Amino acid sequence: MTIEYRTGLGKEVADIYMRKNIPYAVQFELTSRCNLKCRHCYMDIEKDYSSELSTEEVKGIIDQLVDIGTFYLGFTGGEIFTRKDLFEIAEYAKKKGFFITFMTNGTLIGPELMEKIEKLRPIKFEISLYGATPKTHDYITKVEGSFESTIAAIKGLVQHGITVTTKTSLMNLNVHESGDIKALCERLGVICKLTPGMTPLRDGSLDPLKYDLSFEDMDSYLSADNFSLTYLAERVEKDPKDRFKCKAGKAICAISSSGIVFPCVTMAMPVGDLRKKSLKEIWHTDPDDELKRLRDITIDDLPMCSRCDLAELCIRCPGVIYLETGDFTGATQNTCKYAQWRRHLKDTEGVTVMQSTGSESTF
Amino acid sequence: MMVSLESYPVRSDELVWRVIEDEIVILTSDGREIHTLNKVGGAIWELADGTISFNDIVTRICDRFDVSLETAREDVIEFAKELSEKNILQIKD
Repeated sequence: MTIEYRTGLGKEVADIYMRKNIPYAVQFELTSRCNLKCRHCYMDIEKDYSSELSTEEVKGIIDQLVDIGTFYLGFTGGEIFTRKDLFEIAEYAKKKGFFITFMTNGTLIGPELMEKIEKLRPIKFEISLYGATPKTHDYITKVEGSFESTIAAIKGLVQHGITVTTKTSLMNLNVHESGDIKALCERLGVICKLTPGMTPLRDGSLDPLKYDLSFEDMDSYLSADNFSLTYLAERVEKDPKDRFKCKAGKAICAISSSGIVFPCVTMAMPVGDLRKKSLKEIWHTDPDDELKRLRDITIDDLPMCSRCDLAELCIRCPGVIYLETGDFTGATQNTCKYAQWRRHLKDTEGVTVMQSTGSESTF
Repeated sequence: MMVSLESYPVRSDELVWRVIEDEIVILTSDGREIHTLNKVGGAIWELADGTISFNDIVTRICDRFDVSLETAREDVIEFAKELSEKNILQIKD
């Protein structure tokens, strides 16, 4: 009998789980209902909610996530607080042992919910914020008063000791307030995450891209810190062949409100239905051909990106490329645009990939 | 904290652990450390719910694995000390 014990760095978990195809981080869309109508939202909001998973079905899937080895469970939507059983589900997940993240617009979180949230001790609490003023935020959400409700929730959560991260998609409707959003977050005592770029709709419609930033917007309002250069700096250390390695379909996955499994929350490529098959079958014992293809992909399978001289400055998201082109091996003008902008920063301002303070996270 | 055979180990609730291919994988809440235990370490870990003393754990380990009582006692206590120092296992009187 030998008792073996090894310890390592937490960040290794992603590499280990990538090799074994174990989804260590899962985003679970508990509902597609939402009380806001954001102009840029990628969700194809279903009008018929009859296919939404029941409480018991959600719990059954959580049990399967324990068995498959998931550590991080992110609850997202839609707006998760529209589900009356949210706390029942979250408490169940907590009991089963997960690091829980809530992703919400915050508008439905009244003072009466703060203590319940505090007890759950979520590892992350992410709130969407689309402006530094009611005018901009409410214009984007198309709901008057949403800014006020979101800010009230943030204040309440901070008072209860919850670490809040605001997430802002920067678009041509709000980029002029990016500096003010940062300042507002500082005053509120929350972590501010600004992300330039738009994602197509789940059905492939490119409509939200009309809100994407132009070079002029980026030049006028953004600095090198907004372009994930630290992430790229870390990537420089890696073998160029691993440059575009993505966790989707290997170490991460997403589950829709009707139980459809996706490789990640962005890549709306259905790889199985949890009402018909177990997660173990979908992910391990009987993965579908497209999932297998996604897992086996190497840089040599990317005809354009593998030869591109912007490759070292490109954050290539196969999910976005899939939505825009219907295939994850292609390239899109929009992704190339951001790589071109990083090249511009490098050439004109002498910015190197080592100088930024941006960061990438699990979700 | 002294680790004696009469004390009770309990897993810290500030972490998440999973059984992966016969090993126990433990991740700390700050995500900074990952700990991996083999089958024997994992068996001790699974028993560490705060209601079973090290004495009882040693007995169960001897029933399940090919090991003498004396060796099991020494190894289990050594293992518990290591995990306790890492704050992933707490020891109760």
